[in-house]
Amino acid sequence: MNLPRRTFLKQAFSGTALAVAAGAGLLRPTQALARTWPTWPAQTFHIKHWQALEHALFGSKPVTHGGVHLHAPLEAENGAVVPMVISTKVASPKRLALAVDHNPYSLATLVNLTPRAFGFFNVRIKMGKTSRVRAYVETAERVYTVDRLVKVTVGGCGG
Amino acid sequence: MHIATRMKTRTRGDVTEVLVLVNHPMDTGLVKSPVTHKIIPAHFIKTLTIAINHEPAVITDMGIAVSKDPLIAVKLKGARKGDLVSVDWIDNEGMTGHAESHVS
Repeated sequence: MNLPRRTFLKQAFSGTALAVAAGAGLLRPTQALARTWPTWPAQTFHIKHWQALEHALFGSKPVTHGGVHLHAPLEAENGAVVPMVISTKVASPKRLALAVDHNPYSLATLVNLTPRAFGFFNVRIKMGKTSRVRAYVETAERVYTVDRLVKVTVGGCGG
Repeated sequence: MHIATRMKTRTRGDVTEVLVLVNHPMDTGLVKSPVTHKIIPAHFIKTLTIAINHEPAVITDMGIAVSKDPLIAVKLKGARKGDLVSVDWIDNEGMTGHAESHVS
């Protein structure tokens, strides 16, 4: 979980009383989080290019190829529903991300994991056209990535 | 508009697989209606949280690229029989949904 962002947003949006209570240790952080909605990272979801996205998400953390599996079809007959499975065996993954190079906005989904979750995520996404799809796993020290080319024969964004 | 949220869990040993299905339109805001030729406004789930006994375990932020009627699977660690697994989501219009079930 991206703690600085969570902490910031929790304080910014949860109302002063709750933030003060959480700050004073009256509420455990998870309780405070459960009562408020973690705020959606709008800026990140509006990044168009995958390289800019990678930089925005992970900054200067070293990026290694491998360490993560992306199960994606070689060819999608329907770009509106393309199944994707991200899985990883790396120790204590903190975030998973899925990005599509040629979609209007690169980032499809960003998954914050706690120690209660395995490094696994299955989702179906839309793809406008044939594109490379990138999966990322972020740990405290580094980022693991893998990409797959998925051919789309019927687009997902035009219906 | 009512949006149905369904959840299923399956536990094997230490691994609890959670399947979530939400009947949500996930409109991108980029598509024109073929009937009215007007842009269909964006309507999509922004954040979906899966929790064990009310403690968030997976928090998913989604963009418009997630397909209509999102079907999501995650794997949770160390959930025991009787633990409450729940899912909550909120979309860009402030609509929310919830589903829960006990680990059997």
